Amino acid sequence: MTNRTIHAWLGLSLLSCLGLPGCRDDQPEPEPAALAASTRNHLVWKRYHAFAQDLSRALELPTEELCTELGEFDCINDVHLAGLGGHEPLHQGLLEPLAEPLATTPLVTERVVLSACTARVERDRTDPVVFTALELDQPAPAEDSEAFTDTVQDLYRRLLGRDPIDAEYTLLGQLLVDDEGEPVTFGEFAQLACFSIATTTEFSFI
Amino acid sequence: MSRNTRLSRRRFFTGVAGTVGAAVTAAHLRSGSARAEGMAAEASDPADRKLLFVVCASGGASIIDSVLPVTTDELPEGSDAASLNVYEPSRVIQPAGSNIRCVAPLSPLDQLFFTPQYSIQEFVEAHHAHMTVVTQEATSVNHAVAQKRAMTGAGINRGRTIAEAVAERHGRGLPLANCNMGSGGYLEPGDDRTLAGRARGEIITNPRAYAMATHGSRGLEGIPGAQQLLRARGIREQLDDASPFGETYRNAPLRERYLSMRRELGPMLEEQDAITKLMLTPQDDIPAALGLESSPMADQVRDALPNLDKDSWQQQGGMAFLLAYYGMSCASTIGVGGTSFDGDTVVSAPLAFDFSHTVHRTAQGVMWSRVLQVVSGLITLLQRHDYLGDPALGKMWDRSLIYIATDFGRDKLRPATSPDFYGTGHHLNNGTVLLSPMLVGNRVFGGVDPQTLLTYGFDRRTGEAAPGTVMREGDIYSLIAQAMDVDFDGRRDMSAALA
Repeated sequence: MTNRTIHAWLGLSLLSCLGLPGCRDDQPEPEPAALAASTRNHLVWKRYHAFAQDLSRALELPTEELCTELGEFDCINDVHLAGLGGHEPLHQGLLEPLAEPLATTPLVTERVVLSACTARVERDRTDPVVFTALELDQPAPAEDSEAFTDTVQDLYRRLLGRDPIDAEYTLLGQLLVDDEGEPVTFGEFAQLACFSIATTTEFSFI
Repeated sequence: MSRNTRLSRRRFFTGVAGTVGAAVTAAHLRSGSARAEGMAAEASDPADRKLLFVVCASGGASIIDSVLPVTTDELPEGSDAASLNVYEPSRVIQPAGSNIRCVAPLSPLDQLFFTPQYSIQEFVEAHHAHMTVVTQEATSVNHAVAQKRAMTGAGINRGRTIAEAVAERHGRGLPLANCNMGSGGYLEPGDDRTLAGRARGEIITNPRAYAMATHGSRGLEGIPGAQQLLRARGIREQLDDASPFGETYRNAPLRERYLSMRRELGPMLEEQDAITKLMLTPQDDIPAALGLESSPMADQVRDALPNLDKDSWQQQGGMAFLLAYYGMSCASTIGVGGTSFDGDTVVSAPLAFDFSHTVHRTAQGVMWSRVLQVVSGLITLLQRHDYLGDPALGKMWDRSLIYIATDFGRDKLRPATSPDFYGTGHHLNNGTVLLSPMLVGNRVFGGVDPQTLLTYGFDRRTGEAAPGTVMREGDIYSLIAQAMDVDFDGRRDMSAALA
């Protein structure tokens, strides 16, 4: 190869390199491709029994301890049964569950999840099982800490069966402080993070 | 943990300064409304709104054993009174001023081990002015099928139940436009997939505690404060949209409707403080630590339904009233159940009216009394109170219609060897009781053939009795629809019965 040819190749390489992101340190990372929207959209509403079982397994709580209303009514099998997609053939003759969520379904979902998350946090104060990163009365960890990352990752794995994406870490990091910017306790963060994740539609529909 | 305080809708939408999540939530509300069914649409004009109460007399409430009886002296000559379900004249009463007769209260012997708390006679005495008795023949003797046909008019309006139709007409902007506490076929949704989402039935299985379903957090112990929960909700909204699941199913109709309810109806119910207004649990039975209160109208309801605290049937009536009074619903369905006790006394029959299979007259007497006691309490409440508590809107009764729905009638014969204690099967032929100032009151439309005890129909426009004809479920449905300003193709003109 002659010097002219070598110079030509180098020049071509330089020119082409100018257009390649990897060649320059100040080029932005390419945007990840947006997820295509489903064309079938065949979602199934996760109903009372499955909902309770999933929550129970994720938080390692007996189903009967997930939620009670007014100190006496079982949330899942009694007062919120219809709202959670259940059926009651014996007394009410509701032979088949309703096809779609009721107007109060989102609210009762929040109630059951909030109650369960609170119950888990309270249990963990004496016998940590889920929220083990820190003492629950301590200030919540920093967003860049291992305690935060581990807690969020563990919640996602328990509740949704996957790892969180970066955006989800960032969003949940906002729960580490209150509206005034003051750090909350780890216990409060645990409750709120648990609530936020378990009341997403991803937990309620499959 | 600080005690949770009420979340106002304004605070939910806008949040406090620096709450990014709440601001995003507000944006989601706007976009959610546009994409989804717009469940929290602008409310219908309260002045125009009408209220429907469907009272399900489950099991087969016989009209000739209540308000359309036939006496032995009305039988044609040669008839065998002992083998027909007719009553001695002394057993049939026509209260002063009433054009409607009724069966007298059960004797102690006829009551068997039941203790009726009320009587058909008391009801007719108090409410005959607004009673409309319409003869009718059903088209099924299967309980579930007949119950559903009683609600849908046998499909006359695209399969919509009358409650759904009224909710779609009058329920715009109401968070719980159509509530259903019935059972069996009365509880089934209609078959019209084009029905607006807001008109679908909200099932209430436990009226005493249902108020808890109208708030996402109040009444739970040890939870974070209201502001923190508001913040978490905002973060949750963003998580929902940012997640791979949310991106993938961003156009899924089921998910969109769910989000619309969560972002619009939920805040509406919380803003309206439904958890307090609908709380039927007495204050003494609410653990103090929960920070909840009984409904401000609870005492008023208890005055008309004295056994409210213990009787689930009266709780249904009370809930139906509260839902309407507070402008959350315009159509409520309630349904009488089976065996019920008041202390040691049995006040309701097993299988409700279907206990007629075992002992017909006792079952009919006990159950008509039970049903009408709650209907009477409901009428009392509707007559006493202004709609939405606003005197300018007039009394609730002025805009209300009560439809006592039932499956079908019962056999017209009885065994001559046991004319007082016998069982009956299902029978298509029957009648219906409606109550409303919007209908011609103190009137029977149609009649009863004394030879067969079969009811016959009437001319829909003139109201003249028309022997040889029968009215059907679609006629009852059309009558209610016409009174409630619900228009649909195929609606029959029932003008004769309209006030």
